[in-house]
Amino acid sequence: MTISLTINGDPLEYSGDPRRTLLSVLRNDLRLTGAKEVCGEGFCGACTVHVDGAPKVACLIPMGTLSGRSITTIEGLGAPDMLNAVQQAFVDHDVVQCGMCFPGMVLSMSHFLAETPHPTRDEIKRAMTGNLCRCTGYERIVDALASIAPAQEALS
Amino acid sequence: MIHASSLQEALDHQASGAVLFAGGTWAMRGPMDRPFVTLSGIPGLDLIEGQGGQLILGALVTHEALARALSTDPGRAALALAAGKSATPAVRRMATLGGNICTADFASPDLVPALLVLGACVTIVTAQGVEDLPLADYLATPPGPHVLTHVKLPAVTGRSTHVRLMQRQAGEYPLAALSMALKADPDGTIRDLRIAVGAVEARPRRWPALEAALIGCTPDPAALRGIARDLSDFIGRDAVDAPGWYRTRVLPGLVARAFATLTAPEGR
Amino acid sequence: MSTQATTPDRLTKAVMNLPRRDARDKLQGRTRYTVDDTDAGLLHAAFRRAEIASGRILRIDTIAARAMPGVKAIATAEDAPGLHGIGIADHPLFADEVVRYHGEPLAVVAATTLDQARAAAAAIEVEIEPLPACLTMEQSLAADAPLIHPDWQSYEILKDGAARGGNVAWEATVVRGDTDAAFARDDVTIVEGTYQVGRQSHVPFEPRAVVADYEDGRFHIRTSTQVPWTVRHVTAKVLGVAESRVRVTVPAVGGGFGLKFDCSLEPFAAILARKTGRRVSLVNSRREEQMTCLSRENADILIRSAVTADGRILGREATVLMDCGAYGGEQVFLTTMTAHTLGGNYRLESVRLSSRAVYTNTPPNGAFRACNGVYNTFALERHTDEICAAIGMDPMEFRRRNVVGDGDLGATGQVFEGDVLRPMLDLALTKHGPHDGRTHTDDGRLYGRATTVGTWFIFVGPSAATVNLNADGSATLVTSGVEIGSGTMVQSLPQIVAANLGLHPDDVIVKTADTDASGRDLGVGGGRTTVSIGAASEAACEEVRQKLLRVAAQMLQTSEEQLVLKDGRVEIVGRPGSGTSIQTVIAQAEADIGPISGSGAFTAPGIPAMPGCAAGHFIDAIDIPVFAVHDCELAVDPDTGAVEILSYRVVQDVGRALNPRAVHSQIQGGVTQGIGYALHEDITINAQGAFDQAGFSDYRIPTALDTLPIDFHLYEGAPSCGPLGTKGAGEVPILNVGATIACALARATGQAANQLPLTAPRVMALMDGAGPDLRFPHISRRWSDNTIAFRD
Ligand SMILES: Cc1cc2nc3c(=O)[nH]c(=O)nc-3n(C[C@@H](O)[C@@H](O)[C@H](O)COP(=O)(O)OP(=O)(O)OC[C@H]3O[C@@H](n4cnc5c(N)ncnc54)[C@H](O)[C@@H]3O)c2cc1C
Ligand code: FES
Ligand code: FES
Repeated sequence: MTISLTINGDPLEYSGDPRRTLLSVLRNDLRLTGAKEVCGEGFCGACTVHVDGAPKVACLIPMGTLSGRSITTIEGLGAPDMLNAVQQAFVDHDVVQCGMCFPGMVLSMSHFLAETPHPTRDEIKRAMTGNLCRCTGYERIVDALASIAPAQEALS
Repeated sequence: MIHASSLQEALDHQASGAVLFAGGTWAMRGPMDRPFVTLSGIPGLDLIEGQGGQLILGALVTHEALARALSTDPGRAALALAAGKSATPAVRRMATLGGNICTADFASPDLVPALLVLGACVTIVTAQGVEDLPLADYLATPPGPHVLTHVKLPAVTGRSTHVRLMQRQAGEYPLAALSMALKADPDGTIRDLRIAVGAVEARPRRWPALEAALIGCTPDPAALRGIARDLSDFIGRDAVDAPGWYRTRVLPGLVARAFATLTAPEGR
Repeated sequence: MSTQATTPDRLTKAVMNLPRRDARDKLQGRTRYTVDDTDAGLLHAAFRRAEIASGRILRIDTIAARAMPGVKAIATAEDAPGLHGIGIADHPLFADEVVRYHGEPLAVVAATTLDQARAAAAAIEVEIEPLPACLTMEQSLAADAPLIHPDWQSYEILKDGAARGGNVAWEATVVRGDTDAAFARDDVTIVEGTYQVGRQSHVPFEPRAVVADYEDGRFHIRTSTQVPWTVRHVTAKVLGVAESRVRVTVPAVGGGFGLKFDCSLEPFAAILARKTGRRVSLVNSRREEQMTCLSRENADILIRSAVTADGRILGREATVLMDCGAYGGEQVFLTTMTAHTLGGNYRLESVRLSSRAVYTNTPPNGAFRACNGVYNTFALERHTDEICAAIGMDPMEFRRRNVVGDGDLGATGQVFEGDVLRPMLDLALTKHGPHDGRTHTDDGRLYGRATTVGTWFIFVGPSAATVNLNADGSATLVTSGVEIGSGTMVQSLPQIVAANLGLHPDDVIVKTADTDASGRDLGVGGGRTTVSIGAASEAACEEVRQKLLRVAAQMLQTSEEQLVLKDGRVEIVGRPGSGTSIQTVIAQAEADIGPISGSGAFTAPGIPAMPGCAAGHFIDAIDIPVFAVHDCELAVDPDTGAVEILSYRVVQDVGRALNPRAVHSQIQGGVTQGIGYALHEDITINAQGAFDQAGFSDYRIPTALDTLPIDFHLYEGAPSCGPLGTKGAGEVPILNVGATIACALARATGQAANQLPLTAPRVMALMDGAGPDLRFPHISRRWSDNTIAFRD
């Protein structure tokens, strides 16, 4: 059985084992290695991708459930020379360390801010609980995100 | 992986050894030696529908959808909290109501104690046909091969809450979880009370002894802790995340916390 | 050392909040870590590991596995007969004849796909006869304990001078002054305490991973490591080839924290690459990574002190047992640290320390950020609070009186330079205010606050650097540094080079480690990168600068002393615009003397200890001490034992902060890891000798909700031989977190919080008066009994 879906806008016809994870196909077949396999069981969020626009953990999604879906990975977010507001804030605040958690962090937080344009600090942190980071201790990431909403207000 | 488009198809495949697949957040972490049969092609399983005061929830409703739908329903706050605070945001987008109830070897499903205090009934479909039964009965004697299609919640008049204790502030299974539904007179006398406990024993269950002891009383917090301690007949489950003694040791505190939340002035 | 006069100017130029140059790629998912090498044609390798803590190998039969689909090669102990280790060569690559820990590699398989490799690994027939196991240090040190290394006496000694024997892999001792006399006095109070800590797992998000190739008769190892030269050395040693046959390169590393401060998977992959002639990828699954993590070691500690009524510490005796697991590894080296961590902080009139690495049948341990220091600081600071309680002195006052200052002696008799800790304490007191004695919060939770001090040091040692000046006026810095996330390679190093050469840091290209191109280096860890590689880079820059100025002086008809490097130009002092661009000078230099490059080197200056004080140590005295003062307020829920940190404040001795924002990141990240260590991250070892916590569902690293904004003050100006007066800033933030939280919790609950981690069940048990049994039958109250060297 062939499963048709799109990945970052490109069509994909997949006919391998339907129980294989989306994460494995992204990383090993398509060499889209931005999504990381860190815990492999849903806790860390490093494998986060957007499925029809909503962040989900690719390590727990079997290919067989993705017929007709549209997947966006970190590689498909914006253009190579264009950072989105979250990425830009992370650059401006210099919050990246080893970087392994950040593709997932960017995808989760971009969606969260689109849904919650004026979050409190606590809301940001709650939204981040599925994206673990071993390096940064989070707070500077939260600072960067908290700076986005007011900045956007100031611009409009 | 098989995509069932009807309940009958799902049952047939289940009978020949396939594992039902809902959100996959449990199934994908287990052995992958058997085929999956997905339920997403069966119509009506993601429904959320009010009928009078009753609420009907499809088995495929996700934790996220549940938390959102119930966000303005104080009577069912227990379920909204359980759905909205369990796991992580991404997992809540995937994990389903049915999966939470039907994962047989899972001691800490957050939704189940909440559903128990809200008086939930479940609808299951087996080779013998469709059956409605109280959730407590379903848990006590798990049926053979079946698909759980819906959960029905009766009308509510009181308030409810769900407290979950973790080591960290988020992102883990509860070490102990307690749901409480309360109806009290204006003077504070308890009219109706249901308490259910999850994660402490192998499966969640109600705490009838404590419920019975408190109905008709107006307990103060210290007394409440004492009564809960005296009437606890739970045998805590030793597991890697916490020793059994601890799970039972914290119950009086969780009772007090839930009670304080429910008796706090409205709007807190 | 370079002249005093130039330092301030270079320093001013070097200090900036330079953003990371690797951030964009990391944020766009473009960075390729070792685990991201998934190219076609690569073979994949998988281990067969022992599932028993101790046993005799009767049979390992690979015949059936070899015949399985996709299998290209299988390696076992016969392929790597050599032993390696630190201090002593006690570690075979594969379990050979005996199994000493659950998870020990028995064989490794290379196949076309990972699934094929795993299937074949599982199909290897293994027969192991169980042997008695020692799973705790108490068991290992029992009189009738089986020897984990019966042949310990025959092992090659790589460093002389330590006592060893039985299940004690290594012993480092310190004896200064007469503690017997101090304890015998009748005007002292004797305070005794026991302390215990569990293991901590690093959980780097990129697990240990390697891709090995065999090219032109040499091994090329691309690996996720902090120590390219150690990998080169150990791989060569185990494979029995010349070190020059091994090349190590390092892509971006997805977190290390010390776990990758040792050679691990690399030789296995190298053997398979040689056997197959193909590129072989070997990556630990998360489960393997957890179950064989070279964790921060568990430790059992006894401290006894003889203290006068006015708070002088006349004598201190301590025994620190460090579980090294089945092989000595880093713990052999880390026995050294006790002298400087537990022996640190305070003036001691006499001291005896025994620091021992003890073998057990458990997975080997390793180095973890502020290794050894974290738990010795916890034990020492809890002990200090117990002393204060015993003699009735205010803990802050006791610390103010006793912290080491200018001219004071360290445990091994080294003389400390400068008053650092006391002014830091005073600053903390002024900034944070005195403890108000509050014991309850409004919501009924128990409240506690504590301030602690800590001593750490920068692990200096050999580093080399080359700076090439390019025709376009940019410079290329070639070192063996690697970027593990801390930012050194993308921030402080280019900042240092730029400040020395009058360039903008963006014009400094920093090459990551390639042992074929860069000089030898001890590795990225111990907070040493900025200091050691930075100092070597400065020396390289100095050579470049001299060459450049010599040519420019001729061109500009002036003397070299009249010239400065500034903004990509060579200018005559006091006459801006009169000079010429650096490119012009480089072009002239190419014609006159050839392209300009410089090389530099650095090693430990070697501060002396007092002769005869220390035995079995790798470092007798510390070259660059680093001090920290931490303050924490917390609340404990009496119903659940759950702890909430209400505030956390740090005063950190940084020497000079070259990139204050990057230091802030390190403090926020390091303290958060420390909160995990103190409260949540628990490793328990089951009856099979395996960890109970196999992954993220049970091993609890902090989430965003488990930390808080860390208030910090960077204390500058303490003496340091580091470049521009720097000290490393990445390790020390975690140093006193366990200590501070435990001390605050002890005050909140009134209970002896002498065991870490303080998980909610443990705190509940403490409050219920059912705390742990820390009587330690395996540690004698007579100090000399806890040594080989001094036992009578
Ligand atoms: C990171 C992470 C954190 C988690 N944290 C929590 C937590 O805090 N609290 C909590 O409660 N849970 C938690 N979980 C567990 C979570 O997997 C389940 O609670 C979830 O609800 C299962 O739903 P699912 O739809 O994903 O089930 P699936 O994985 O699809 O199925 C689970 C089991 O139920 C059976 N099943 C599913 N649907 C039906 C049906 N309609 N009829 C009959 N049988 C069915 C399946 O055959 C399978 O055996 C967590 C999971 C992860 C990955
Ligand atoms: S790898 Fe998918 S959540 Fe961790
Ligand atoms: S930056 Fe390393 S895990 Fe987040």
